[in-house]
Amino acid sequence: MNKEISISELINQFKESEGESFTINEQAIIAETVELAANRTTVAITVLSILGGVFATLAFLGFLLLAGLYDSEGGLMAFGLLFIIVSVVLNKVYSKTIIDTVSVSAFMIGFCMVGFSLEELGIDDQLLCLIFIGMATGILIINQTYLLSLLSFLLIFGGIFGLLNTNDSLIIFPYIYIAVLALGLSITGLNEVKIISHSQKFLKLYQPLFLATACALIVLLGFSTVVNSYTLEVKANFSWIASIVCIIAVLFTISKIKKRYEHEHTILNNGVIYAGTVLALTPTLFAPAISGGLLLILLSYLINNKVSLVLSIVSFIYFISLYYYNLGYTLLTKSIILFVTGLVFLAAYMLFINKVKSHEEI
Amino acid sequence: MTNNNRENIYRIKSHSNLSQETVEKSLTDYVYSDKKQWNWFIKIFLLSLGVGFTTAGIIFFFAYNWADLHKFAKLGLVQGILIATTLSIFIPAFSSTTKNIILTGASVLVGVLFAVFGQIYQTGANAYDFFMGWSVFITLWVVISNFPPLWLIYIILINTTLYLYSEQVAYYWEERTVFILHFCLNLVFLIETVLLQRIRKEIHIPTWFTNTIALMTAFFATTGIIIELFDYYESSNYILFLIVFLVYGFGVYYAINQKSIFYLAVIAFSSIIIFSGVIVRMGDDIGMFFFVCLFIIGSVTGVIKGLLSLHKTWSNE
Repeated sequence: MNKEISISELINQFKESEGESFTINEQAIIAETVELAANRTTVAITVLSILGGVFATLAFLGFLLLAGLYDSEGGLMAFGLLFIIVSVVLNKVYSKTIIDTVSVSAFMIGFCMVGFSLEELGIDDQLLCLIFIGMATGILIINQTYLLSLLSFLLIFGGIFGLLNTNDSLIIFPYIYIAVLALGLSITGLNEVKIISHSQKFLKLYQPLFLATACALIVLLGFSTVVNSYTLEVKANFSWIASIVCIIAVLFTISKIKKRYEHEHTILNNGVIYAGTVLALTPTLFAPAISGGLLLILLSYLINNKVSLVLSIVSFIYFISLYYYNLGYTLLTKSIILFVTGLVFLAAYMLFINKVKSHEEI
Repeated sequence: MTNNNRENIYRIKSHSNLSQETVEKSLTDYVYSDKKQWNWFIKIFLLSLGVGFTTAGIIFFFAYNWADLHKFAKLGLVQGILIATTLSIFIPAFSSTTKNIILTGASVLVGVLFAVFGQIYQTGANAYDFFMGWSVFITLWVVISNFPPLWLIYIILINTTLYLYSEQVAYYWEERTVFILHFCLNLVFLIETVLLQRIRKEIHIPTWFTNTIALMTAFFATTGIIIELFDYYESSNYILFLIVFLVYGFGVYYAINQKSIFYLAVIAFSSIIIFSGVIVRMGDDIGMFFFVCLFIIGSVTGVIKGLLSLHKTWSNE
């Protein structure tokens, strides 16, 4: 756990390190701090807001379906858009945690209604995805509050996946999408400072962007694992593209982590780390979920995002279990592979603690 | 949803001309995982994967049910590995976390031993007594190690035993009775954990552990009542209602005393779902769903307002 430091201590430190060229609007910072103190939230409260929104949306959809209101395209579209506008305006004007449930519910209900309406109008699925992506992008330009930005990013990633998945002949696309998301997550995770320094909007969007990319990658990796195990073999043949990108991203992330501590003594030499990683991940070339899962864990731990770390660990365990479950060998062969892999990890562990110890003794 | 240091650095950055180098340095110093944390992380990661994979390899080996291997050889092999694993925790060089992870692996091997026994003597793969035996024979290790992940496995095993018992032996039990029992079982563990935390302060129980048990308890309460509402509408006996009402009442009192936003949020959300169920059950017309939607939005917003003001008061104390 990193030590907590107060905002005033931070300002003093910055004044000292930046020198005379440093200009700061302390009044604005104090005003924002006071404002935020009244709205300081916890993970439990945020989850409560989202769950409240989801359940309210489900109840509303139940109402729509039972009342048969989904037949009226015009009404659905008008009310759907109204809900979305209300949600964005509410969030923009009163950026307060207390209205989160209202705006999350209105946002989700609005998009469901617009979706129903477009379906009723017989709009093509690809066009529907494009419309959703366009609307979500528009919302991100207008509003950068945490929850709505998170939902908008998820909508964009979901929309792109929908676009790629509606065309069955292009089965390579989901894997390219995984590769792009893995690259995107690495670039986002490793360049926090550059991204937040770009503009005020980017600064506000950074955290929801990282979490949404991580969630999208987890869902896509899960999808690829399930698809690999149930459908055509052909689909599996393209999975190496995603794996290679994920493995390269893992190696690159490791090199960045090492670089961060380069001024101190490095514990293990580069060759052992990179060769070991490549060796451990090569057998999973047709299961990008393993290298992707590892990448997610590393990046989440690196930037210290607890929500994505927990999600990554849980999904990593699931991906590994599914990988071995689906392997087309007898249980005996699987048992030998697992046992040997386990021993290799234990040996790596022993090697690591010995190195740490000898390093500490120096 | 982000930590305070990061939030503060972001805020200063947005109202000043802070250089990228300084932002990078402050994030490295106060937000990102440092070298010590990375060492800990790599250690736990490698060890968990090592123990996990090795144990899984052993499980798969016995699941293969090698016909050429004599039954005594099978049992002897598992017992040999089990003894070797258990003895390895006496190696003084290992830290207590390492020993606990190894003991967790050994506890899983006890399950393997029972499974192999069941396989040889055809006791059935999902028999409740398999899980009961497994739970009983690791109890001592669970208590001695006091390792939260092992405790969690233990609680899941006992819940599984209860579930299978109700399916295979006490199949005449009503579904609501099973939920009452699961609720009470997890409640006992929750109370025990909370009491232990207060009485023996030297034992550190991580928040994620108590929170997980609290969530399991609330899950059985909520699902049990929803089942009662929809499946036993004509013959409701309100026992679970009454117990949950009393427990939640005490839970709110405890949460306010302990200044726990988490417990309050869980109890509030579970109550909102239960009330929504009551509303849907009471009215048959379509408008009820609309009303439920408004009720959820209104009540969750109200709860959040209350929680925020409590959080603010408690943070200032």
